Amino acid sequence: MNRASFLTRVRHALGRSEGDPVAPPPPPAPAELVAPTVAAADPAGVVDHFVARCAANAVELRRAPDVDAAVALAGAWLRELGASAVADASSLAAAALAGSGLTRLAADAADVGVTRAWRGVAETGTVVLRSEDGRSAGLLPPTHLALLATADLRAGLTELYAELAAVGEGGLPAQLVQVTGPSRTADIEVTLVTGVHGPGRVAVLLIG
Amino acid sequence: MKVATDRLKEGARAALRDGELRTALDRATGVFLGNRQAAVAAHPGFEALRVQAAAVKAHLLDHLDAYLERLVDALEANGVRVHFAADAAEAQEAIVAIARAAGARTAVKAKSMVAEEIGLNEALAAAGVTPIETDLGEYILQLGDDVPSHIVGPALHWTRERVAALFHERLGTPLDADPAALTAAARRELRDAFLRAELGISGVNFACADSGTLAIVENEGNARLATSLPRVHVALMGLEKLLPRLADLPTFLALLGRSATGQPATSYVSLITGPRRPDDPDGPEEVHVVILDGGRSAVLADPELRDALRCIRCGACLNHCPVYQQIGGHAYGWVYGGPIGAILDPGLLGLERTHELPHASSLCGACGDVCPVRIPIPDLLLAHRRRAVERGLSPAVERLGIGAFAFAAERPGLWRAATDAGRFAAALLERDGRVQGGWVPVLRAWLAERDLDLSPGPSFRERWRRELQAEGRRGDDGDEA
Amino acid sequence: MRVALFATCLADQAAPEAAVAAVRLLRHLGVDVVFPERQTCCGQPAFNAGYHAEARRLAEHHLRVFDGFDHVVMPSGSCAAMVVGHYPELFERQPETFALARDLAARTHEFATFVVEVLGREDLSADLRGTRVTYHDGCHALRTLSVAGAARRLLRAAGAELVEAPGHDDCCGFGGLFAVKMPEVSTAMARAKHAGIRATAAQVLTSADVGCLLQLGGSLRRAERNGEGAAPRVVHLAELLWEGVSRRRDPSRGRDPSPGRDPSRGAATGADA
Repeated sequence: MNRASFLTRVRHALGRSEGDPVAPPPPPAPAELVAPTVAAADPAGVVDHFVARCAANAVELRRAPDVDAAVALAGAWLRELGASAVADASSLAAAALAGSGLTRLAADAADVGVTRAWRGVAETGTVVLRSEDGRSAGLLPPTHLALLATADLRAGLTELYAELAAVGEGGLPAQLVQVTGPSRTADIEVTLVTGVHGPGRVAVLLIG
Repeated sequence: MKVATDRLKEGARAALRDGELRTALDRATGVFLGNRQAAVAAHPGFEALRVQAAAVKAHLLDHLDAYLERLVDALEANGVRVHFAADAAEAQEAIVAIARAAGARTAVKAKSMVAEEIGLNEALAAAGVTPIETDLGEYILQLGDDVPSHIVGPALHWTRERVAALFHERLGTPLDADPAALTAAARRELRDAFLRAELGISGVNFACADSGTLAIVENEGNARLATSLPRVHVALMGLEKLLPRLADLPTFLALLGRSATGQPATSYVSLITGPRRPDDPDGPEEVHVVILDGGRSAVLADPELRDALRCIRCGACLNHCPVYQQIGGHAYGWVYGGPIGAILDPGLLGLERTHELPHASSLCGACGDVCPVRIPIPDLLLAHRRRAVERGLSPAVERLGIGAFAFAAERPGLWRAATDAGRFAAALLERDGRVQGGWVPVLRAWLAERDLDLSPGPSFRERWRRELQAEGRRGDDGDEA
Repeated sequence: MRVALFATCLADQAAPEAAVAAVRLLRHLGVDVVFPERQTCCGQPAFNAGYHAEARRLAEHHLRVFDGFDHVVMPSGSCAAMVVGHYPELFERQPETFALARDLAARTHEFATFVVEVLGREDLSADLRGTRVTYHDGCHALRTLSVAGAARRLLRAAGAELVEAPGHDDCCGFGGLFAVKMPEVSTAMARAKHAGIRATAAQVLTSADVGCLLQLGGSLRRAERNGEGAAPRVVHLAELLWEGVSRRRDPSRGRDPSPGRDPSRGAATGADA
């Protein structure tokens, strides 16, 4: 069926006739996510909350005071996490990988994938990855190390999405992924198992 | 999926006799209920979210024509190709054509209920494209040649032993493998499929009309893989799965995870706004969306039923339904079971084939209490029941019985005589303090598994005449003790 | 205050003691109770089964019978919910009857909520001390009306030892015609509540709806006969409270919870004065 016939069916279903549909009135305003466990205006509180949520989600977290320290710490951490690694396209991840001395392998063979995290969300302990940096490093290897700057932490999803909505036409990347902890399933007898198709082990190095 | 919605009673009886299924259902619904309860208790704003979400979805549906236009324009502006399918056949055709054009030999599939609806796997296989289910529950069902029984956990009616036996036979894993080992085996088996497949197929949880963003919610990571690795990605969605704005997502994400599995956030939410950009290191070169009507526009056109299209497929109504808890999903005979199935299937498939489903309910109302978008499910069940009577679909015996009942109940004299006769007959059937009337049709159903004393002496009416009227006149019990 | 009792067809036929107790309790609280004898059925079974034409006829009859009273009280959450929740809807296309229906809905009360919310009474001068009671929340009573709170407050004020059963607000499976349309599922739902009820070690299971009591009492008694465990005494809330009032007046009645009506058991000994 073509677009016109398909959409006409919908229009008729709503009791409207041919012609351009009337622009709808604005939808109800988006709700603030009540239960402001994290005050957006309190940066220290935001970081603490993020750290606590990561712990609750079985995400390992370490901190580095600045980028230089982060590269060094990440390198060392990578050596703990595996024998081979892959980095996403970000310079930060590349530097960390280079500093680790680990064997570079393709994403489908490496032990660890190290990526930059474009944003973090304190409310849920989420890191947000961007397709511009590549998708495979944070997806294929069984362990994922994400590098996140505290300046890129947002209090809640509402704040994150306000930013996304403000980006304007054509400004969103091809893909964003909100990553909250390891890959999981409970499809067998509702028994929780981690590490299904995505990484079973997630680590975050928080910078700043 | 094949429609078998007219075999509810048989299906229910079979389910009740299936001890393994009862154990599995008990466990699954118990865990989901507990997890949801904990998540809701921990989120004081949950009710406000429900109210908001219901309002947004109601608004969306009232203006779905405009929002669909917006969505399609935004998708195309993002470089996504949009296909319109009036029914299952057209949807199959569209996807097969995409698969052929992509030269696909295999297609990795993330979970999609719409794909089940249209029988996509059969169509792909017939066209020489091997569909590979990658969601663990769907993978189990594909290997085991079974169909889903629950929206969120499609294979929850399988015990771990049964899965282990299946994997042992097909994948060579040990017979005593536990869920972790079984999951690891599935991961290994499917990894190669993800890397090789030319085509990835997914559903859509929410399509945001303003930005054209497709949101896919999951825990396993198979949707991320299926929508990132293959060269071509096809997203399949019902025409109602929209949100007006990207900014509506936080509300719905907060509700979906908590309602479905008790999670404040699922492991992954993918936000897809077009195919890979020229400078992207990876990602699909082509993204297609197939929008299916499949009877939805008829439901939209029906003011009494429209609200059913708000559904975000969380499965909470199934988990909380005391009937579903006893009989599971297969008894409903189609993709959508439980309370949502009972109200949606008649809309999509017609009441003639599905009129038993709305009666698989004691009208307890638990479903409506937990629906994150506040679909008034009990009201819709009653509406379908009314329509079944209006269309002459109810059993003749029942029509006659209700007719006779109503006839008597409008005539107090006749009512008294009939009920006195009934109690007299019941007294005749009484032995050992119980009514033994297994040969009387309605009584038989009652007495099969319950005791009944139906002869408690005189009716209330008699007691009023004999004692209470006089007590009243004397002023007995009219004073405080 | 002119108060009419709607006994409900189910109580009238299968559990009259519940309605008797309701009348006595209301009089005990100083309410003049009338029983309009032309009453029959509120129409809920027909309505729930989708027979709106029949339900409308019964509703019109009900409206006529209960015209002119300040309040209509009934020992049933589901019947009250029918009048309150659905009568107006039945007459959407008949403006005059719609107005009457809305008016009646505003004057219709389940028994416990009438006592607590309209009469403003919780203490009935009843004595249920030493009686371990568990309360089953009927679905309509729980969701459409505010019976859950009222019932429990009355029981506590009488000194009953109230113990909540796990799953106390799970549907018992009666659902009116559902119990005979899908009997196996219905009884499975009732049986799913047994363990929780037995776990309370309550002597008495009570509720505000006769249908629920027939269903739960009937399945518990059958299970007891099959050796699955002792069944508590199953009795309507009004009856239980009236027993408490009688006991307070005449303490020589003792604390034995076993005499009295259980709709699923054998013929009564009659616990009332």
